[in-house]
Amino acid sequence: MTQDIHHHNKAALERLRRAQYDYQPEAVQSALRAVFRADAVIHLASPFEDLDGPDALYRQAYVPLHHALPDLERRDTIVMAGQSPQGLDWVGCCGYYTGTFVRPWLDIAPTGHQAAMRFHEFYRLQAGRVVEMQALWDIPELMLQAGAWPMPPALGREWQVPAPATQDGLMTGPRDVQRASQSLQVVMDMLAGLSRYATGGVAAMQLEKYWHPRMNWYGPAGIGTGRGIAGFRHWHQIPFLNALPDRQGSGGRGEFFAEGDYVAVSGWPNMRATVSGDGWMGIAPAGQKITLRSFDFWRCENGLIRENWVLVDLLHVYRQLGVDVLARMREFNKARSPSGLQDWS
Amino acid sequence: MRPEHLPATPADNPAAKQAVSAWWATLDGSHADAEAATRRLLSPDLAFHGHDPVNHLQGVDAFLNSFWQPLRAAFPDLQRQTHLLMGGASLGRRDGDASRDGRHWVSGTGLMNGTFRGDYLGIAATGQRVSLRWGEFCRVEGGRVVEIYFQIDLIDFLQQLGLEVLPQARGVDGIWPAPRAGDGLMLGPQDDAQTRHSLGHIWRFIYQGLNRYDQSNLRSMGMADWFHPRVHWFGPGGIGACLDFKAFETLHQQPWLVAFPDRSVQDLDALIAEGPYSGAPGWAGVVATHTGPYLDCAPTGRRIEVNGMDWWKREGEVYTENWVFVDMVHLFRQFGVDLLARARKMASARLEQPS
Repeated sequence: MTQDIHHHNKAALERLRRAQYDYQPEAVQSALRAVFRADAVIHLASPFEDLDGPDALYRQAYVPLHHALPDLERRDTIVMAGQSPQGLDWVGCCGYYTGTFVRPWLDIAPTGHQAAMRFHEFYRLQAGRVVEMQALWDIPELMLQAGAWPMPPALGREWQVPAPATQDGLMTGPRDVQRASQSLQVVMDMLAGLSRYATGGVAAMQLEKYWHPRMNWYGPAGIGTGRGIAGFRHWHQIPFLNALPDRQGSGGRGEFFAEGDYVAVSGWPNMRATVSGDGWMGIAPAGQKITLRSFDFWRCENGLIRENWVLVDLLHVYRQLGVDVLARMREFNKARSPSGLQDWS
Repeated sequence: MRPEHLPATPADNPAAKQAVSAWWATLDGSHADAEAATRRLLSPDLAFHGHDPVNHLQGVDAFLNSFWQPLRAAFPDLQRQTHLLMGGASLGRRDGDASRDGRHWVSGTGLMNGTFRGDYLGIAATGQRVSLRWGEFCRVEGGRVVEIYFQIDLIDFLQQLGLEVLPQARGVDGIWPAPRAGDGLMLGPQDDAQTRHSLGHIWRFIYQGLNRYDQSNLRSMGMADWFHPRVHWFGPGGIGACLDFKAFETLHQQPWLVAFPDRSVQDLDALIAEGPYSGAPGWAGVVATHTGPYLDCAPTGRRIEVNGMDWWKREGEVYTENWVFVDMVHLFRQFGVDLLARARKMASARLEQPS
C-alpha cells in the first residue's frame, strides 16, 4: 500500500511533537513556524481562545507554560489521521503535557511536583502544513493538582488517565481503510443511538449494543472517569442528560475521522444545549443557552467501543454562564499569600 | 437613630434558660424521658422551623416524629455540647419598635457529637463519629416553648463524610469553637447595663451598618467600625471561617455582595442580647436577587431568601467573634440545585448498586 496523505500529515506533525517532547524554546518555535502556515487559524481552550498564527500560539500559550514547567515535555498516547466527511484532512493527538510545576501558570499556584495536563489537539493540514488547530488543554486538571478547585467537585474519578489499553495509539504503517470505516460506523451508530434518548429514553440509546461491558469513559477534571456502562451512566451521562436534555451536535460542525480502531471528533463548537435541569457539575439551571467544545477519541474493539477519552472546555462553559472560574481560583491565592491579606482588597 | 426603648429582660429569663438547658440534656437520654420532657416544655402547638429539607413543622408531635426521632435514629448516641446559652427580649424590627416585638427567646449553639449509624435525609450511614454544628432559638411564653428555629450545618456534616457538594471554600473548613473567653454558658442573670448596651449595639450594626451598603463600595458599609481587626468570623460549611477582618471582608463579604448586591436584612424572627453576646435567627432574614456568581454557581437572576442564624461577641464597641449559619441546601434549592441529591449521588458510589 502506498503511503498516503495522512501518513505525510502525521510525519509533518511529528517534527513538532518531537520538538515538544525535548522542549527547547528555539526548536519549538522553529518547528511551529515550519509545520504551521503563518496564517493558520488557532483555537485553543478558554481563556486562550483564538490566537493569531503559530507565533502567537508560541508566545501566548507555550512560553508561559514552559516558564511554569521548565522541563516541559509532551507525551502523545494517540496520534491518528484521516479525512472528515466534510473532506478535510486532520491529525488528532491525545496525550498530556508534563513537567515540574515550579512557577504559577494562569495564576494556578505551583506545586513543586511533577504535574500533568491532558490535551486533545486537532490539526488540519493542507499541502503538508497546518492551516487550522483546534486544541483543548485540561487546565482545570492543574487546578486540581494545585489543590485550588473552584468548581463543584466531580462525580467521577479524577486520575492520570491512561494510554489505550492496547498500547497501539501511535498509529504507523499502512492504512487499513476498511477497518477505519468500520470503526467510524460503530461510533456514528452509537451517537445516533444517543440522539434517540429524547424520544425513547434510556432503552432507545441501546448502549449495550455499542459499548463494551468493560468500557472506560475518561472525562475531564470536573467530571472524571466512569467504568462500565453503569459507571458512565451514573457519573456522567445521567446528570448530563438531565441538565441538557436538548443537547445536539450543532449544524454538522463536528469533524469526525478514523484510523484503524480509533475515531476522533473535533469542532469549534460541536454541540449546543440549554441548561434546563439540575445535576450536571452542580450548575444551576436557568435556561442558559450554551455551546460546547467536546473533543473525543474512541477506541473500538471487535465492533464495540471500549475506551473513550473526552475533554470538554469547561472554562468556556462556565464563562457562558457568567462565571469566571480562573478569577475565583485566584481568590484562593489571596488566602495563601505568605504576606497575609494585607496587600490586596 | 437608635431605638427609643429597649425591651427589658424578662424576670423569668434565668428560669427559662435553665428549663431549656435541662430539656436539651434529657434529649440525650432515653427516648421515653426525652419525649416526656419534650411534651412538658414544648407547647402542643409548637411552630418549628428547621434546616431544609425538614423546614416547617407544626405541633409537638410533628417535632418528635419528623424531626427529633429521625435525627436520633441516625445518631443514636447523640450528645449535645452547648457552647453558648443566652436569653432575652427581642428587638428584631427594622423600625426599632420594641412595643411590637419584645418576645422572649432562649438561644444556644454548639456541637452535637454522635455516631452516624442510620441514614439521615437519604444519606447512607457510614458508622463514623461526627460533630454536628447546631444552632437553636426557642421562644418562651408562659413557661412553655411555643416556637423554635433550629439548624444543623448539613454542608459541614457532609464534609465530614467526605462528600463535597460545594466548591472548595474560600475560608477555613471545620472550625466551630466555643467562645474564646469561656463565658458563653449564661445560666444565671447577667449585668443589665451590658445587656442593654449589647442590644442597642447589635440593632444599630444590623439596620444602620449592614443595610447601609450602597451596592458599589464595600467601604460604604463601614464594617471596619464594627469589627475588631482580628475578629474570628466562624462561617458555615461552604464559606468557612475567616480569622481576621481582612479575610472576612475579602473571602466572604465581597463575594456575597457580588452575588447578591441588593440584599438587605429584613425584620428578624428575633434579635436578642445578653451580657456581651447577641444573637438572631432570620428565616428569610435576608432577601436578595441572585445577580452574580456565588460559590461558582452562575447567577440565576432569581429572587432568593436566606435562612440563617448569627451570634456575636462584643468587646467594647467592636465584635471579636461571630458564629454564622446559612442554610446552603435551602439557598441552592432556590438556584435550582439540589445539594442533598448530589450528596446522595456521590455517596451512592460506595454502594454496590449506585443510583
